[in-house]
Amino acid sequence: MNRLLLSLAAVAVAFAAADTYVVVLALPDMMASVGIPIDQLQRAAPIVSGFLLGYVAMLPMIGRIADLRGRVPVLVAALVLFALGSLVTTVAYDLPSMVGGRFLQGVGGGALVPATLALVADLYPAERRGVPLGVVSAVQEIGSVLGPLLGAVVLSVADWRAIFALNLAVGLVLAAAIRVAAIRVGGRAASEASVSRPPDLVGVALLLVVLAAGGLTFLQPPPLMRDLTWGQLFIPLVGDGRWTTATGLVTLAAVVAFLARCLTTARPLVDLRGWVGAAREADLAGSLLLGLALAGIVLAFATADPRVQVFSDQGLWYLLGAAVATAALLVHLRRASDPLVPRGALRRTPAWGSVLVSFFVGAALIAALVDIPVFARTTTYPDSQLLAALVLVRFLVALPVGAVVGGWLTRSLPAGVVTAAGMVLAAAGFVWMSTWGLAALESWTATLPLVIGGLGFGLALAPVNAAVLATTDAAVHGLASAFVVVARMVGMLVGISALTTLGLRQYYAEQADLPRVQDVCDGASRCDRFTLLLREAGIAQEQVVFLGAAGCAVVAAVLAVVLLRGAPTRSANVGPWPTSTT
Amino acid sequence: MMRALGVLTSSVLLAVTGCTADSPDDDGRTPDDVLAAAKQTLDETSGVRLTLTADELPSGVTGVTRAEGVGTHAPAFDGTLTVVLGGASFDVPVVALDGVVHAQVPLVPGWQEVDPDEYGAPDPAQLMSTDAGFSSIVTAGEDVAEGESVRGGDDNSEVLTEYTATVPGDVVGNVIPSAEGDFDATFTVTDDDELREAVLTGVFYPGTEPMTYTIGLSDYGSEPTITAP
Repeated sequence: MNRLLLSLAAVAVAFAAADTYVVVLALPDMMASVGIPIDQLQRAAPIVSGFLLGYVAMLPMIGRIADLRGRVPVLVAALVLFALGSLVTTVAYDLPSMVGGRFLQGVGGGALVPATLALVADLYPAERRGVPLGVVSAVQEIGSVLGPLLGAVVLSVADWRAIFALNLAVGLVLAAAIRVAAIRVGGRAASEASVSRPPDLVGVALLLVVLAAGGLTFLQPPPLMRDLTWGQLFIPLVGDGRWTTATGLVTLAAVVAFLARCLTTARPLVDLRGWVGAAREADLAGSLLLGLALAGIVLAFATADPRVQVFSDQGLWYLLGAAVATAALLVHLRRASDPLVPRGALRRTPAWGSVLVSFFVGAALIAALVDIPVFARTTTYPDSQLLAALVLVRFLVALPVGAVVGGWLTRSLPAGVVTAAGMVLAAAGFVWMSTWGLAALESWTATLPLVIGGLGFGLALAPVNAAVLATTDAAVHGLASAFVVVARMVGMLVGISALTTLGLRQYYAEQADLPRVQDVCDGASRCDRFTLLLREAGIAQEQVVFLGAAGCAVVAAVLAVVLLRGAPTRSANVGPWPTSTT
Repeated sequence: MMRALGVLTSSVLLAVTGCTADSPDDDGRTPDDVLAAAKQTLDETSGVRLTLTADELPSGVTGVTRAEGVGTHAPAFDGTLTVVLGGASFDVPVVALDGVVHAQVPLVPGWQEVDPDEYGAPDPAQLMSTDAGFSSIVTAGEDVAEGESVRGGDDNSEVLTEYTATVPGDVVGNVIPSAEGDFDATFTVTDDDELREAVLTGVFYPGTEPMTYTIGLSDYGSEPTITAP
């Protein structure tokens, strides 16, 4: 039964990991749904980074919440949040609602991993944890390989909203299954909310009102809208927008009432007081500041107009906000009694060096994960998400192979050298990809840079982990390897935002001398030659992003050689994945 | 004021021409009369906000998926067209004035003069023409029938009346040049004879499946100043 519980948790982890990348193929369709043209990719970057933001903001504090609240309640709550985020994304009507849904999905997804790792620690004695921990980490990596494929399969039979409807269903089923499995296992703590107790009916009623009114606000069903009487529900009472209509206000009021009920009643449907208390003990303030700092960066790049400048005026304010939040976070970390990062945990150079290297690895990696499918869809496979996904799969399949080789090499070579070798390979792959033209993917040679890049990223996984584990105290190993993962995701988040915007800016700066249409087309304002020119210009943005990613990979390689030097990794026996916990 | 004037002139006109068509409504006007009045309101307004959206453009077609902007009877138009070129969609800012269409062609900096026909689009300023523009569609329908009252418009706060009709392709060509065959049309008109929405379904691009364009009109009587860039 313990195994059943762990298997369910592992499936949930794989599913949440798949969700990080499930959108990369649907991105062009999702952009079209909210009216963002393909040449403004930077505005759509938050659809990817919103998820990462939620994931990263939760990851550091959830381990301690899981200690305080118990593993099973955290897993169930995480899945419910994930399902809620999926619901919001499915019915999203504009970019903010879409990104909001993705953020909630990320919060839920980010909470699953540490809670599952903690579950392993509960179920197995220290000396037998290696295998199950490895399995959990492996399914996480497998999930990210399967994510784009899963998305492509769903897209081949339905539209992008179906992907999130599927997530919603799977999230709820897994939450229910984990709860039932936990009760069968019979642990008192696990089943403290026993099924025999009647639920808080007022709370249930309020929740139903939230769902019904919220559903109407999001969907605005045309038959109701058009009806002379019912349609009045959708007229804004003040100003304009959906949230000042009768349905919107009822939704908001019901949410407030539901939260108030949960905070005040003796036996609430959701134990908000308990969760908030646990979050406070787990350094909620620190997590919030981290989230704010990252959100500022995401928004700063997303509001840019690369045709004109890198940052809009609004963007500069977001950047300032991010800087203030970062400063506050640093002060907080120095003063808090029990901060997110224990003081001195990463004081040795290879320890903080690995975190820094991971950041740049992530920044380069996300360019591959997002821009390879976008490139495939804008060139060779405009109508087939599945074939576009298979292009990315060539890259993703090489990644675990590289990871195993990297783990093996780390036993005999310095961690910095192995990491640098991997990142140089990745950079080479990216430089090659940046030369791809419109027909590049039709040739088999396109597989080479994909495989080289995938191998390179794989190679760098193990040595970075080994370096951080070899240079931190055993007591903070779990936290330290979590930081490597978090740094990689922060790198992804900043990378997707910055590379897209900076890449486009660079592109526009260089293209100022593109010829006039009439000069190309002998006086006409459209001809095949000019369309070809436009399509070539269109993929130039991805070529520039690939070059930027190559730059990030080179930075990671240089940092690895300099900073990871002297880490005693050759004696340590570590796998390719972060596999250590307390 | 303009609006009231429009209503007044249209009702005077209707009184003069008389109402001979079938099924007159409460105030004695036939569906044809209402649509004629709606065309007149549109033709006489100083400026109007236009939107055009496609439900789904057939794959492989170079055409317009979305247009948004303000038009006057100069005729002039200032707005943005979303065109699909080679599988990717681009926003193209457009200013059309004096028979010349200025556009910011995707990925090319600055304004250029373009021939919209070559992009599967009409001269957007010509949409505002009173004899060969969008408003000509409104009165070109056959088998006009009054539908039910529905809610719609900005903020969903208006009560509108629907009229269905069949419009020949050569008139629809005023909006999408390549249109052919008959089109099913639904016109939604306010009590003030302002056309609020037109939904056209048929074959807009030769050799493709039928599709739907929805044209929305609002902000009648606005006075935008449109100048060449």
